[in-house]
Amino acid sequence: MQEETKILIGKLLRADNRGFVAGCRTRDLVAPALGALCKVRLEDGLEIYGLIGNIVINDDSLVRQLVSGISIPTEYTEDNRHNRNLPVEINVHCVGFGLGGQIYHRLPPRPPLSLDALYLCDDEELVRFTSTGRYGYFRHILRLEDQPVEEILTAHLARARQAHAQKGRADWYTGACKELIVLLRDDYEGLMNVLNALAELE
Amino acid sequence: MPVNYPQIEQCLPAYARKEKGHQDALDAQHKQLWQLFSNPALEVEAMREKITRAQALLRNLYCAKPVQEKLLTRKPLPALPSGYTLIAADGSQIVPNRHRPVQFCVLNIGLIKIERGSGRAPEINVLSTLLEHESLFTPDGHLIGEEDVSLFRDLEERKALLEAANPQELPIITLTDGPLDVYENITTRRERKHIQEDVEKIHANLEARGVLSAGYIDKPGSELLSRMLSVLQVPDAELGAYDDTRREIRGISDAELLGNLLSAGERSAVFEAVTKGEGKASLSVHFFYLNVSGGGEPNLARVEFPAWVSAHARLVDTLHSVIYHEAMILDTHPYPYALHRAHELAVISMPEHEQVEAMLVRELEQAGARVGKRSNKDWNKGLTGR
Repeated sequence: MQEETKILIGKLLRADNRGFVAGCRTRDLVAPALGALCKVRLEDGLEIYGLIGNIVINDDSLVRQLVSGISIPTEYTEDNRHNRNLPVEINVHCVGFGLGGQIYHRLPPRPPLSLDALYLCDDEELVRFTSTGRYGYFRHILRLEDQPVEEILTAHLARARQAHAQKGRADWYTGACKELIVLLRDDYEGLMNVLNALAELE
Repeated sequence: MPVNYPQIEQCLPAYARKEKGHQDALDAQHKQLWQLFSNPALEVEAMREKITRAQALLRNLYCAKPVQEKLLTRKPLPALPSGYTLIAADGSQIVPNRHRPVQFCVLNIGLIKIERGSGRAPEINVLSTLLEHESLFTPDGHLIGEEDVSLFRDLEERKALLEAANPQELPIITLTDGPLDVYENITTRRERKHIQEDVEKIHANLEARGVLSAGYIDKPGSELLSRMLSVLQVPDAELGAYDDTRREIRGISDAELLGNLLSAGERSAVFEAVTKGEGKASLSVHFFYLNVSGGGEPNLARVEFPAWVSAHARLVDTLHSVIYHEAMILDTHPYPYALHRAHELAVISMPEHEQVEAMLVRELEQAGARVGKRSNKDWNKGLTGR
């Protein structure tokens, strides 16, 4: 029932246990945002959760040619955004899974399959996922390499903080910051990057 | 094995020398042709009369005929209408191939409808037709070839345009790639006559709806003007014996002739396309040349349209400006965007070809029909080379 209220944001192109890439059309690129929690539900009921880490807008030779033009009338821009088969790629980092009503902050036992649907989680589910355990899913984000870790975290925390505050749990964000300090205690540079980014939320 | 490059290389100097000599000869002819074309003594009405006499006398004639405007006409780019609908169709096909297990023909038409001024994304559509079984063979039992398939495809393109061109207040322009009319395959012309008739009916219907239909010819190589000037040089008494194969100046295309006349955005005079002979078109077509460039090197295209349009200067202006601006959307390599998109929609990839074939094979097997074998030649061609 709840599933129907979720927003479909794309379908899977490729995946492994650590993450996956979903494609969507440019016209559907309204809901997905950096750091947003999303999930894929497999046929056997396994739900795989991930945070959006990067959104890639692809091009092709026609788009490159149009870009070099002086001015493009609106209808032609809309044609390329709405009609042409150039999927936007949404890179998602796995942060946990759900099975049998329980949420785990571990990598999923198996990746989702191509063409599985990717849904954006609503605030209720975001609160449910982030309330489970003690921020165990942070480690999946912190170990990412060649990724703007602090930006993904900040975007995620901003949204989660708001969702928790609406549920009267203002302390969730404080706990998240403390947990990050503990996790990054041996990585001064990383910690400062994260704290500087989090300062943007104040 | 790759190409034997040393063998090719040793031929290159002589080849380049000959090409240079050929170009020098063409340059001289170009000057000669330009002198004929720019002759101030040429009167439009006199030229029309002479070409009309030639039409009556000759069995075959393929040339231009001035309509009203002087030969050296250069019309500047008119203003673009604030709103209009542009519909383009382009086709792709699977030509029946006796080397495949089953013989079939698919016509795929890409259609795009752009409502300029609306701000909305264009409507797009792909219309796929499995050609009727009875149309697959010529009367003497051979599989139809490229020419016949092109005729069927051209008809489908025009049907799609007619279907999409609903009358409205704003101007509607339809666009196809290549000549406006369809040309018959001489060997099957009797059997395919109905296609030309159907195309004529479609054009009559479009005219009744006030739709401007146009054919866009990119990098035109035809020598309609050169042929026209050649006919005009023939003394009246010898007109009936005119033989185009003995034309003195040849190899100078209309685009080359007019390249230095037309500035960016300008069009030439409107001409009538005289096409008389076996398999030739039956639609009355007019055309102009248009310099679709932003300046610098001229880039001439031929724009064909039904003769009735010429009677309305405003409509010729509409075609002129709409097609120029459409082509300049892709300004580094000007070509109408809508036609490019229609082509992109229509293209049938090899995997799609094989998928349709597999669907047909399954259906034939279910129907208890025999399915042939792929030829060994075709099979071996599919081997990955080293």
